[in-house]
Amino acid sequence: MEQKTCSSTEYQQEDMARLLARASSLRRQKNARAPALRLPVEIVLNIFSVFPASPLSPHVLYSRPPPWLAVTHVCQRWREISLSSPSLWTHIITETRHWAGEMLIRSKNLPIVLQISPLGRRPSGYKSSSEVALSQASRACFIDIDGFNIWHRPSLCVPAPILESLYLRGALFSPTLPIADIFPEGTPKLRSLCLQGLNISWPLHLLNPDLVELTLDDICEDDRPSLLQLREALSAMPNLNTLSLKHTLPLQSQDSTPHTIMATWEGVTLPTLPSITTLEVAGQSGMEILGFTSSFTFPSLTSVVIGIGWGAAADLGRSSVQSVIISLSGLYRQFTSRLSGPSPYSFHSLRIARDEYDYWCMQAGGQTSQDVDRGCPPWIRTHFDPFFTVNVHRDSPRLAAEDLFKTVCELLPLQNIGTLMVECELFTAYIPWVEAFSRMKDIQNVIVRGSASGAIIEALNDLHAVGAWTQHSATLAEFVPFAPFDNYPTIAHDIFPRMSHLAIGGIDMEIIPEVQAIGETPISLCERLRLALARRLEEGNGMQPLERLGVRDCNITQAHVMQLGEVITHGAVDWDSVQNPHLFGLAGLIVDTSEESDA
Amino acid sequence: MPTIVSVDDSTVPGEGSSRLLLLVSSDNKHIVVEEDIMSRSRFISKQVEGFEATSQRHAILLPFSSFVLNKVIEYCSHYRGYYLLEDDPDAAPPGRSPVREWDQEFLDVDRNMLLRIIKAAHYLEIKSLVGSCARAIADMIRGKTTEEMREILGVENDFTPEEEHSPSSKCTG
Repeated sequence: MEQKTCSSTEYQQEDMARLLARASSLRRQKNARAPALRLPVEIVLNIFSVFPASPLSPHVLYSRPPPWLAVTHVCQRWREISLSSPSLWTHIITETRHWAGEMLIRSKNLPIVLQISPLGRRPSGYKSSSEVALSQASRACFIDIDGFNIWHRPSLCVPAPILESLYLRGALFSPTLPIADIFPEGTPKLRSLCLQGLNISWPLHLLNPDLVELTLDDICEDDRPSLLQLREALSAMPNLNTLSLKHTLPLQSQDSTPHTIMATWEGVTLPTLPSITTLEVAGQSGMEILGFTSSFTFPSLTSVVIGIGWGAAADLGRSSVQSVIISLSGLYRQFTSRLSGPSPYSFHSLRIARDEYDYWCMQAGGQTSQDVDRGCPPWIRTHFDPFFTVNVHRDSPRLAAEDLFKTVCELLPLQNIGTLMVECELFTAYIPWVEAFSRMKDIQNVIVRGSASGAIIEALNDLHAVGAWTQHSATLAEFVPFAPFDNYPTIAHDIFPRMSHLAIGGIDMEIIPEVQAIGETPISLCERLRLALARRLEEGNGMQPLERLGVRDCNITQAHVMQLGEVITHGAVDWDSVQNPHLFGLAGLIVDTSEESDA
Repeated sequence: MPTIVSVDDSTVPGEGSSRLLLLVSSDNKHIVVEEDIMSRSRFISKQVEGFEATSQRHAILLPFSSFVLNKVIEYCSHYRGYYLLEDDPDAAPPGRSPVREWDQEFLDVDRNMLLRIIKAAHYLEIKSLVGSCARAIADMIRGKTTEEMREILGVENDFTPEEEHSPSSKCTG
């Protein structure tokens, strides 16, 4: 009885398996007619290859396993196509031994990409999967190892005939490792090299004449190249377009003075780097950077990022370099270092910006790009050649920013600044604007974006209240702030007597502000502006009428636009066609209420 | 391979600099289009090169409907004169590539139409359009479960239980 039951169960299972296989076969036949599965293999591969790209996850490397792997479960045909396409498996997943080994097999003999990081990994698992992934390092065209460890090295002591990019970063809190023995036969195809926190022997055997991108960072003091070694290394790489040296230049002794540091560099002529477009120097004192940057020649369109050393930046500013960008953290360190005192340099313009400087670099360089077309008025370009930029990163520490800006205003040579541009909303409240404006004797243009205009307007108001703004008001020609207008409901007409251009944008001009001065008749922002401009037009008394008015993205009736046109000299409001509407748009001028009450 | 038929001069007007092509769809619709517009198609370009070797004028028969063909022509017309990296990888860019947001709107069609367009683009060797369609299809299924992908694509799960759970499939997602 028991035997019979068992046979019956086995029979049923076999039957079920047959039915399932039959069902699978029928579904496959049905799929064969599905339009999606009748696409040619090339098209399917094209879909797979773009599958991981998305705004949030633009690269497969940051999402493991890659999201497109889900498609291999859709149906047999898609699985077959993916498994038989080595190109889909070349970005080796290094998180597990199993994945790493499987992808090495599936990628067959194609060049592979290896990106290895200990982040969030157990040390044992990290080591184990790294070893598998690096077992075919000679097939790699791209290697990026974060946390380079002693057990990584044997895997890299192999030929590297196709390696194009190599990024090695030493492990934190570990002794720095020498790399003299990796890739002993050289790296003939290498184009990008980044070494950080490693022991480097000079001459560095990984350098080759075709290198286009070189980053050296956190090189321990004993391993830093001498000036002569640096010159020889750079001379041998004429195609470099990106050079980043952080904590890499030879250090000067603590008791050296700017004079002795500069003397060290005298007579050291570094080569011309004709292709360089980006130069970054950081982790040094200002004079060390100054010595370096003044000792070699690079194209005038080079974008220069100085991590430390406004002194060096100033010197570049005097040369033909178009833009100098100084990161906030670098400045902070610089200003807390030994270099202090009055600067021998001068700037024509100061820009405090967010980290979106590419737009301005391109603009200053006269290059075209999609971004440039978003609109930078030509008149701004003329004021920013060269310009000095303090670049504020979003992750800048708040306290550092506070100290930095105070120090910036103490040390920066503001007396020759003609154009001030503040487009950073963060931290600018820390800037002692009253003091800063008091030192800007030649200020011509103030351009403000974002909430910074609040602090600036308050400062200008204070200066005006005590009569300290008089000396500047004769030369101030343009004021194009951007601010929540209803926070500044009144409009000054005498702080900027020679203001010729005004742009307004992104506000409700028809609104009647809730907060009014005592005894003031509630009127709309539009009417308030019209009255202020009318007074400029009628009163004279040193006041110049507004020449140009732009109104963009505002809630304002056409009738009111026409009324505004009657109180400006050119008579026509540039309505919804102001040159740079979404970058510079809003009027935040304030009124001298005492004068109104006198009247 | 397309069928090439001879046509008389009255069917294909135009001469010299503004040469016109006659494209014939699978539903036998005759569509006259400027050669310049269709130059993005490597397939058409090759056909035209072949025409130049003969004195005859030709029509090009294409294996997809006029509805699909018109969509392709609309795409080619929109990007007429533009440099697109996928189509002209070796050409020096005379100007900026246009914003490809237009493609998203252009390809906001149902699944079957999208599949027809990508097949037509593949046939005509218009790499930029193939790429845009591929991105659109990928967008349709991105972030979806396998079951949802099948539903969107209109396909069945045709794996046997063994295939679905075979050791090799563990590395397929």
